[in-house]
Amino acid sequence: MRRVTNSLVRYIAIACAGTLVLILTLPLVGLLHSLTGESFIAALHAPLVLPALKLSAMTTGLSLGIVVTLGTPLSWLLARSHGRLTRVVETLVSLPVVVPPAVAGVAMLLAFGRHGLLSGILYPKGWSISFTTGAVVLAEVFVSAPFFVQAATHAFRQIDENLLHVGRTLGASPLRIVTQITLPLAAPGLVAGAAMSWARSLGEFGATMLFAGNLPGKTQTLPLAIYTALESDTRVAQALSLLLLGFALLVFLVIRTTHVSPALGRGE
Amino acid sequence: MWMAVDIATEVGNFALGVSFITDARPLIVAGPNGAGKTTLLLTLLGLLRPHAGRIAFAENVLFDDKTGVDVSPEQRCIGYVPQDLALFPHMTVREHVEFALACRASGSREHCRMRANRIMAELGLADHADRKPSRLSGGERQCLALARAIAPKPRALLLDEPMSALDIDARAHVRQLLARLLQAWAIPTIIVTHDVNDVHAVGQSVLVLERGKVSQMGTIDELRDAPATSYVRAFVGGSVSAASETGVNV
Repeated sequence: MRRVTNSLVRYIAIACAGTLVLILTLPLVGLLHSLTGESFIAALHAPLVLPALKLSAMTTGLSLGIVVTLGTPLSWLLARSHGRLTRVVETLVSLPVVVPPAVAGVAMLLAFGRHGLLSGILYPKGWSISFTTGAVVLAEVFVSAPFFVQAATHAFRQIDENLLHVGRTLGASPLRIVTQITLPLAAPGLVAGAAMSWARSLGEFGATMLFAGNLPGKTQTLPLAIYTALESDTRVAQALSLLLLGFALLVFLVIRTTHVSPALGRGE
Repeated sequence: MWMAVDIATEVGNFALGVSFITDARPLIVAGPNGAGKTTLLLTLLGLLRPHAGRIAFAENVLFDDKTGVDVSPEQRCIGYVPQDLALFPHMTVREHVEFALACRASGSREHCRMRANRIMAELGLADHADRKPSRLSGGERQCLALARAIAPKPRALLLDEPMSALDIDARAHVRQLLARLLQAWAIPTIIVTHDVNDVHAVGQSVLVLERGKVSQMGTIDELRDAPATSYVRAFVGGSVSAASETGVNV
């Protein structure tokens, strides 16, 4: 009787596992289905592809630069502080991860839009960032920054404080400690965080759609181009999706490679 | 060169009140776990701020609560080897020494490299210059931590249990090396240890700390002749080092 029960449990587990694996992999197989190499290349020559690709490369590059430049000092401060304020700030900057993209778009419109919270200060002459390329960058920063900040904060927290103490007793300036001890030790975490952040901004759709719109050459990034192409030519949408999938795989590889990191902290 | 210390500090519920003067001969600091030995070192380094007191190297005052002097750890020029060594895992042996030299030295890159070579040779690390700490033995790691600490020519040296992580052979080797080097450098040196053999090898006088207070200070013979507490008796009798080797706190 026990053997029968064990077998039954095993079969149920396999069935559950198989179902989930199918749900996760079938859409990816669907992307590859019925798309030949020639039709892939041909689809990539559609007029909306190149501008969207250029715009995505530019905006995600810019947003990554902003996230890393502003996020690294923030992560360092969060890692080295332990008060209640630290926990509040950490929660606030992690919030965009759970905020639905559409909500993020509306929130950004209400904060930075023409009639938003800061309109009087930001746009005294009536100009507005919403529905411009700048809005795309801002939306990407909003949704992707938490991924970098979380990974970077974790990487900084892993560094043994004794290493920094020894650096100080040797007479190292704060700049030397940051550049020669802190950043090299945190580098694998920072690179992984930057890769995750870039992948999130590359795939950003909802907030961009609401805050920046879908204007070809101006705010139409790759995900918005896929949405547009789906209404006219499925093959183009399919090819663009494959392109994004390739980028995602690249990021996955970067994260896997950089996370095989040397021992942090202890000199063992 | 001498060092005068008279400090009182509190860390959480723990209070440390210590007063002593030491010269260029090594001072051994012993005491049971939690006696305040590491707290004392961190305070001397400037990494912990005492509530009151004075720390001075000859005529150079590093801390004085009355005059408000509090020299930063970067400016104190005190070499430090922590108990876990705190070696930089991403740097090679040469990079450790050159990093320490570059922090204070103003000479050319070539001069810095030559000095690094000399220090590595002095501590028997020349053959391991391109190795990272993970590829060194326990004794070699200890020598590297020492090389890094003395590279910027500190005016004092603080060693926190320098032999505790070593096996018996490595311990004998490092002890011998340390005795030779300390004699040559002749700077005030404080060595925290549980092992009375370290006193025989490198120490001149011993300061015993118990519950944040100095319970006795003197030469090893003075301590043996008239131990002030049961801990001092156990320490000079060698049973503390034996207990610490087997992981038993005394």
